[in-house]
Amino acid sequence: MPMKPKPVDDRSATIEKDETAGEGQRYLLSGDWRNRGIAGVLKDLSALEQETAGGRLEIDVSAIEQVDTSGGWLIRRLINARRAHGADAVVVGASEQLKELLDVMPQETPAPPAKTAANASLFERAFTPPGRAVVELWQDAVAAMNILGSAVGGAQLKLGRGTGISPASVVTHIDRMGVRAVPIIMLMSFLIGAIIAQQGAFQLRYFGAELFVVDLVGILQLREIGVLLTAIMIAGRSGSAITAEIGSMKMREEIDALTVIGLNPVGVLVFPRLVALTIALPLLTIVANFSALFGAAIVVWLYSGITFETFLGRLHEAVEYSSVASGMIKAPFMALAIGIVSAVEGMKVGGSAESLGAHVTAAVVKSIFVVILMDAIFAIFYSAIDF
Amino acid sequence: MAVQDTVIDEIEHPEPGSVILSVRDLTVAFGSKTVLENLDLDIYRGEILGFVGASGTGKSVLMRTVLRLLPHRSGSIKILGVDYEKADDRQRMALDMQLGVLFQQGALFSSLTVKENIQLPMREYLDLPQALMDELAYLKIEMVGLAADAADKYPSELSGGMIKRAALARALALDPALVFLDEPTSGLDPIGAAEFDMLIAKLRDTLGLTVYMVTHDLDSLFSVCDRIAVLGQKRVLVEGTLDDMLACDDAWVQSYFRGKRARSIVTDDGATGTVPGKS
Repeated sequence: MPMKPKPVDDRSATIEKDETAGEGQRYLLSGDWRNRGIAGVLKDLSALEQETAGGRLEIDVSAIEQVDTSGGWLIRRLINARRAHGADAVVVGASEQLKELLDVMPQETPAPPAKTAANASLFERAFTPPGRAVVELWQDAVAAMNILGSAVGGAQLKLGRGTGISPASVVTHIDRMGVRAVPIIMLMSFLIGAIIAQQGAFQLRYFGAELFVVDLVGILQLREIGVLLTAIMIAGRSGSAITAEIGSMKMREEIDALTVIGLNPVGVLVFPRLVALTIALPLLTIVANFSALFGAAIVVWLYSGITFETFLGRLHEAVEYSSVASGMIKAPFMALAIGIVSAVEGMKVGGSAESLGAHVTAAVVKSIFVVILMDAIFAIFYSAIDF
Repeated sequence: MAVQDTVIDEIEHPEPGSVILSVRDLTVAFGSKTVLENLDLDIYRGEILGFVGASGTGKSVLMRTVLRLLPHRSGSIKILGVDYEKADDRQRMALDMQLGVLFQQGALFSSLTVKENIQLPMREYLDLPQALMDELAYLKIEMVGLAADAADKYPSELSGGMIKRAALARALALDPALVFLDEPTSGLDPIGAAEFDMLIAKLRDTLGLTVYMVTHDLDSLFSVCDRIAVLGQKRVLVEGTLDDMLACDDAWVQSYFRGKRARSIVTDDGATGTVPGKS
């Protein structure tokens, strides 16, 4: 909280009625009529503005030490107000500078243009938000299809100029979204695997079935947790980056520049990211699964005395091919969903920094939601086909 | 307290004709690259100083250093007689109120309307009622030549010229003593640029404003600038009036002020009486 500057006492602006004046009225203004000095005089001033007496009014400004546009405007406003009541208000004792300043001030109170929009009815106010939400949902879906289609269409490089897929760009994004995410994904999965194993082992101990913790961790991690948590982490890590990158390019008219050059911005910007995500997420899921099982193996060895050999043997029996496959199949779909949702949000960014923040937030929230929704749909689907 | 108050007093009541900005022996370097070396510069109150120099000579670096956005290796910068680094909090605040900056791209806050942008410094420093701040904001908007309905627009809805004007209105929100303008007329049409120049001259005449203007607009240099400074070879190469510039025998200054574009303006205005190319 910065300090407010205190006006030097004898310098702040004052206005007084000069009672000794003969005919008409006379106001004496003195002090520092600049923005830091005028706060104290506003009350007196508005009282004098309310007066309706006509006749001659002299405003003596010769004692004013300094004045800026704020002070000048207050004097001008006083003159305007009194003239409106028929008083013959004149300024006396003004320096050349102040005269010029008062002359450039407007004759009327500068006011906002009248608002023409009528107030919305209660019906409108109640039903506009849900209606808008539905329309936006539809528009989002259309935009997502547009992005998917344009991405598949490629960069639209001119005929005979190659395929439009830029391997360098894809590799760069695999590095950024995949390779650099490995440490955090490994650490997170290691801890998750360890926690599940520890809690499972404690509960299963009551039934004397401690060994089955390997089944629990193996199937849960490979079918559900591994891909789900990796996708959520990537949605937060790379989804936000995609939205921010595309959004700030939109703000700086770079997207427009690409369009004018004849390139499809979605193909140039979104397609490499989508490809990179679709490659990176399954690979990260594999990394996550290995480190989660490693974490679980260490915990069950420490808490329950199950050796690595026993762990691996049990894992081999418990985990079937379908457990591994059912988890891995989900990864590319989730990657696509994250990429498309983030790109749609990035393309919606407007001109302000605020809208960039809002859309990055929306991208992360929506892509995490879509990832969980997809996981649920896959679970229903798998149980229906008995996979 | 008494000592401090006189310093603040000097900041708040600068004498006409006094030195408002004084830079001495300024050296700015990034790594091993020296951009400015032993640079001296004085700006007097109530004058409009035009600053020119080839691209990359450090005009922006100098302005940003004076505004304390960049660190300097050595030398002193005194604004209104006060060295910011040695000033206390109250002096710094009084100093901050006396500075206004128009950035090259406007630098309006994109999430605030034009009116809110202008009111932001007022809110921070002054205790004025909202109604008066609204009036003052509309006054500034009118002063810089914007329509009143621009007040409630966001910067992304404004054209380039309108952004310049709105940014000037924000720079002038507190009626500062010293205003820094970074290429104020670039991107404006010639009529708009001429109006902008006239506006700045009028503000100087009515408010006693001091203007530090980085510009490449020859019209601005010839019509409103009282003094011109040329930056080159890591220092102020030459400073003075237009005639001094024309008399200078530095190759860059000559080609700048005696080029084809400059010559036509000089002869049209009759500012020097002679055609500089032939003199």
